[in-house]
Amino acid sequence: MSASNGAGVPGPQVSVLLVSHDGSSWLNPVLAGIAAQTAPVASVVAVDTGSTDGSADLVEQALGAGRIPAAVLRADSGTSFPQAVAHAATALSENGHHPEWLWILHDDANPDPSALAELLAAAEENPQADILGPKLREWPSLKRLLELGVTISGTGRRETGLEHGEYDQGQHDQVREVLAVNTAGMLIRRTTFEELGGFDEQLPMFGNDIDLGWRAASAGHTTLVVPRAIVFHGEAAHRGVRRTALTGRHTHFQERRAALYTLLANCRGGWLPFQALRLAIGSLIRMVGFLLVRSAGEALDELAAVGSVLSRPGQILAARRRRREAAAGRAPDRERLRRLLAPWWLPYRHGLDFLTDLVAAATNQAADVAERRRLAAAERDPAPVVARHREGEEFEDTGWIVRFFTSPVAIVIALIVLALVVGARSAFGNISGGALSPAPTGRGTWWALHLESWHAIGFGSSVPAPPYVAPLAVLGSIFGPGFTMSLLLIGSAPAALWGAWRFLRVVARLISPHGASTWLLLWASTTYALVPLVAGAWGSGRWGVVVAAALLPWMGHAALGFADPDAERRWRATWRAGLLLALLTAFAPMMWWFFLLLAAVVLGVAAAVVRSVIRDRSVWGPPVAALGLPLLLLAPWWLPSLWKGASAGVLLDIGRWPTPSTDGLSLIAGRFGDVGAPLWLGLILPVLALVALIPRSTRIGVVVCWLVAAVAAVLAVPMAHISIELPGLSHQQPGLGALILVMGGAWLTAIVLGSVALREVVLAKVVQAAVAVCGIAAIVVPVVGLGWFAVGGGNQLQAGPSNGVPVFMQQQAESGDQYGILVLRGDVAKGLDYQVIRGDGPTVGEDEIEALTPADPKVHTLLQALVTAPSAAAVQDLSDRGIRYIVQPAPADGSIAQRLDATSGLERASTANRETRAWEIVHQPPASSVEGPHDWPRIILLVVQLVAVVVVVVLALPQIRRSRQ
Amino acid sequence: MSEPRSSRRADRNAAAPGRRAGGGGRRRVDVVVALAIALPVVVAIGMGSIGSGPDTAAHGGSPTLTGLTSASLTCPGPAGKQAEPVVVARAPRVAGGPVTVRSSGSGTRLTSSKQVTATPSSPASFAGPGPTVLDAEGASAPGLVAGRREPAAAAACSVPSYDQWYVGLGASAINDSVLVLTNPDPGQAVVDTELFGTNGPISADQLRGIVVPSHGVVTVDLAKKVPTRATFAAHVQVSRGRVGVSVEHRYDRLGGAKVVSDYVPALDGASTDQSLVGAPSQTKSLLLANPGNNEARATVRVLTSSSVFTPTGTQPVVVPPQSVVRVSMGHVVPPSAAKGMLGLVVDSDHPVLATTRGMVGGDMSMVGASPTITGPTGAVVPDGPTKLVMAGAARAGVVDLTATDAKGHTLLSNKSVDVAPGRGVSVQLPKGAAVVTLDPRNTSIQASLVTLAKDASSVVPIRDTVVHAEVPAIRPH
Repeated sequence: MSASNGAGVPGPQVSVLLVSHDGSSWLNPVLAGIAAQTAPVASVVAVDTGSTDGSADLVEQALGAGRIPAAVLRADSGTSFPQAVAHAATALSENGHHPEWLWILHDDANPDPSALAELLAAAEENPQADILGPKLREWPSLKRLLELGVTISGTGRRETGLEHGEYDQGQHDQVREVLAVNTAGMLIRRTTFEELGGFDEQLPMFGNDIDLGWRAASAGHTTLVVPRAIVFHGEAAHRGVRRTALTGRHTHFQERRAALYTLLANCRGGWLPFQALRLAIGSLIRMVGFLLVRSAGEALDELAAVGSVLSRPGQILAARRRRREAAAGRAPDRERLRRLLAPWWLPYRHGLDFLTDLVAAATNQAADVAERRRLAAAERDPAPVVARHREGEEFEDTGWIVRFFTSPVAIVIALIVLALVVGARSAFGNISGGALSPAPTGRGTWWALHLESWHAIGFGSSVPAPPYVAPLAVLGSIFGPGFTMSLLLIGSAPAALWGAWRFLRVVARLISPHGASTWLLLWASTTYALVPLVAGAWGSGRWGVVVAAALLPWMGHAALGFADPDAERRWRATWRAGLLLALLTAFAPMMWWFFLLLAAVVLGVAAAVVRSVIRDRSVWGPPVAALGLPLLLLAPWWLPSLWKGASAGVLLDIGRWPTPSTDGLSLIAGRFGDVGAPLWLGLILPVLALVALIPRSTRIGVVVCWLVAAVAAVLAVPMAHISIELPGLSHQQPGLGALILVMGGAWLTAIVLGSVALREVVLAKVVQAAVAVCGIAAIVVPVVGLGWFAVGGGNQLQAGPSNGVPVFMQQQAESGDQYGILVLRGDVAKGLDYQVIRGDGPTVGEDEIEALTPADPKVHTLLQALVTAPSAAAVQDLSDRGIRYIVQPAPADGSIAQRLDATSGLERASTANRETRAWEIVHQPPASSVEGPHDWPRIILLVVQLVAVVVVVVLALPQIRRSRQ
Repeated sequence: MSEPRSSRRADRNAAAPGRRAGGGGRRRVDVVVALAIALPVVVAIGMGSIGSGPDTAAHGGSPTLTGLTSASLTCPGPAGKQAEPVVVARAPRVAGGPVTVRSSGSGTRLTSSKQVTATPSSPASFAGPGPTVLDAEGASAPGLVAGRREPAAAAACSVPSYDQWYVGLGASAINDSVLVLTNPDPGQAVVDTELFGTNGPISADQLRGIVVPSHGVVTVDLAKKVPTRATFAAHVQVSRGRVGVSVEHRYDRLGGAKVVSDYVPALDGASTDQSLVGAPSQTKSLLLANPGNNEARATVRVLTSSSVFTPTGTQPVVVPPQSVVRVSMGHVVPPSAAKGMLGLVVDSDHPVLATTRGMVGGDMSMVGASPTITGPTGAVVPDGPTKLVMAGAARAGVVDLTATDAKGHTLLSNKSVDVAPGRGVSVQLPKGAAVVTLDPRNTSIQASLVTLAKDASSVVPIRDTVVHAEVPAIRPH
């Protein structure tokens, strides 16, 4: 080792400490950079930690040839960065060098020629500064900013304060105090370095800079970032380009471990337990986040890091002791630390950004199918393709407020959404009516309903909960059941509008490179959003149809992925489409049957036309798999339904039955009987869809839409003729509501496609007139429909009507499921209805269970005995079945009341309404009266469902990698 | 999922226009056109084949019949001074058997208990001085018929009811009505009574919530409770337990003349079409009550053995809502129309209640709308010359009659009487007849026993006898 003390060189003495490891591909420019420094360098000490690519020789050659006194130390490959630096510093002093400054460089950190000069100039201007750092820019791209000083957030995130991939335009160019600067290019006073005891050896590769900065700040030293000094940094270790024995394969693990260690070793003593708990919980949440974006490796690293740190408390305590000793009784500079550490809210802000990105990515997944198909087509035939006209692109840089107020479409959409919300205003309260029951009051009700094997509904039921209860339970846990139902009822139409817009935009681009105009899209998506509303689904409480209308276009949008030219993307579309189909099926079970038939027809036709379809599994596989997914995801519903005798549920719309039958004309017009908007309004759509068959250029697409409508019609025929017998009802028509949506959607798509053709042709006068007539007719549909709905479309729903049961009974019923109320309505001559009210009465999710439960002949006999010749034994039997009260709401049949009055074991209860008769059963029902057996097969299915949902949701979510690649 | 795939072909065509040139392209267009026509046709045919479908309304259900296992009748006490015994008889074609008889005497509790045996062939009688309750269990329950034979105020025993109307009551010194409430059961019973007078509802809070103790008899003299000079109607509802209700109306002409009385007929409810079978033409007034909230217009027609007709020159009677109207009999049935009258028919646009009240043959007599008889039944015949008047047949049919004396000796055996809609029939019963049974075939009928003795008159409506228990159709809500 040879070195000179560099005497005679003016200005402060600076020694460069260069640490290298397998860096031969970067070292040459780095060494050249050191040599080119405009400021004098007193000496260079290079430490090589066991490179196998000849880095050490490279450094030796280069430094030996240079004019700067240099030494090369060779350490073994297990040497950590702190050890290497300490080694170099020791070597300096051993050789009698006591420079004022140490300048630390990595083998992938290439300093700009003026870097050191700028740093020193800044040090002269700010004599209080003990540590200075340059502006780090990306190497080799050179323009992107990497770091201008760093700090650490409460969750251990390394905060640079920069946008991802931000370009250096001088926007951050002021010298400012920071918590820490990167070790690449760090200029540190030797005395400060020695006082702080160098880098912490527990942080071998990552995070040692923050730790050092934190300690320095705590000890009252000032750290500055000097943007005029520029160092280009390859970040080889961070990106995993360089793997050492110390980083291993899991750089994320090392980084997290370092962050956790830094936080725990440096935080205030009193906060240590709290901080440890917070970091442990935070790491679990981050792990889930990584799983959601299918970064399983990072999720495991996260877990391993927190485990590694927390399982060795001794290490942390030792580190804290060392810091206390180094401080030697001086109080830490808390004011400085508070100023330099990241603000507390920063992690939450990042979380929000992440969620926003996730949602955006999820909604955009299929958006560019048309574009990719066009590109694929262009590759096959490189004839010039018409450039896509991208509307709104020129405004991309203006703010959203300006964009909103300068776009008439946006304003009209806002007004439409407002009208939709106004029409649904009654849903701001807890409403019911028609097929809609009131929402339950407890957040746990839906979970219990979904998970339990035996429901305390009626006289007990083992019929599985309807499929939509699970998603409602999830939403209800967040928003509460009442607000969830309001959200679904009010939000579905705007969601349908949004979904239809996106779906139709892609479909229009599929058929024409120009796509559809925004006004056409607006017309079509508004009309679609109104389909369930003008049909009367909202007004008659068929809320399943309302929600399905919102899901259908998104499902269609996801299914467009089956048409992607890339087989892998087709497979990926399976998860999204299957997940959405499962949701759709949960709210409208008929949808699954429809898509089954549609897939059979389409695949059959495709196989007949293009033979290769059968051979290529990636063509027919994804739609078939997507059809299979609902079977898996909804298994705890449909499978037990089969063996519990409640299989009719797979054909029925959800909600409270009976609902009136729908005839063929109503189906064509999209109406549920008389509750919807005027019938003639609904007939305009199919007529326009017929007209849409005329333009030749888009006819194939329109025919496909008609094929969809025809499949719906073909399915509707047998379904309309099936009569489902339900206990207490003569019969119930299967749910055709879903088919109304499908047909409406198919016709609207046909009209949009037909209209797209008009953009490309010059029309004769007569034809123009005909098109104008069609256009006016088309405009009438959403305008009248929206007006009808906004004015009074939802009036049939109302806040919970009274059921005639005395309030005190209702209250006791809510205190326990075993306090059931048997309500008898009607009279002997015309027949009696019975109903058992438990808890807060029949609520959303319970109607189907009650209605599908096969009638129990024993209960029937018991109740007949009760109303004809009641006995004490019958009353006891009722008590054993969890009945506390018997109520005959007005008008009560006195002959039954007379008999019950004369029955021992019953006591008359007071009622507010004199006409209502009520009795209390003297014997209190035991809690066991409403308990039933566990259904182990269903419990297994619930576990399968949980696993399947997690897996499918993760697979369906887009991949977001927020790393710096 | 269909659009993209087909459109992909479209794309391919658009992108590579030359590839499918030639005959193939032409045939392809044909297929598209054919589909463009066929698919809408499929939709139209499919939708056309879907009818409106049967209504999904829940099926109501008429009750099924099952064997009656328990029957109770309550009988009012004797109106006159002589305690006419209660005759216990049977409807045709039932087994009969033991009947427990409880009577209150002059007390306020049902105490004395006795068992009698009554079969279709041998009626029994029981000298109960006060309100009396009959109970029959098991095979003996079906077809229980009973009544007192007092010709001035004959009363049939009735099933305890929970909702009945009485029209033509009074609460003054001259016209006074007395409610007798009998509780046959061990539990407490509660009775609520509402009154409607000529000027609308009469406030009578003291008649609400009248408690009838276990096995007790409660007598409510309306002249003492709610003194009023108005004629009114009473709606008696049993809100708890079972109660036998009877209302005796007394007419005291003051000044030493004999006080006459009759039992006010119990009416099941208002109707737009009712027959007062056996209503005499010589009675004084017709009382109409309208319990509803709409003004009712009632037309009164005269029932004879040959027809039902509206007398010329009469006007419809307007009954204000929730009010009672009294019209003179001569006003609705002029003397010219009274000849051969067997009863009245009252039709109205809104449901009303109707009862006649007046002196007939020197005795108070009240006749209400007759209940409909749908099956074999029986009645106890008042002592004295009695006619059986039948009318209101739903269709042409035959009623088989039998009559026996108090010992069970047959006086009339299976006499078949033809009945037909729109006319009445009057059959003079043999002297000494104490029990009559009716067995309508192929029709329902309304019938009354009209007794006209010296200084005594009464009209006893005949009701269906309970032979079966009705089991209601039950279904989940």
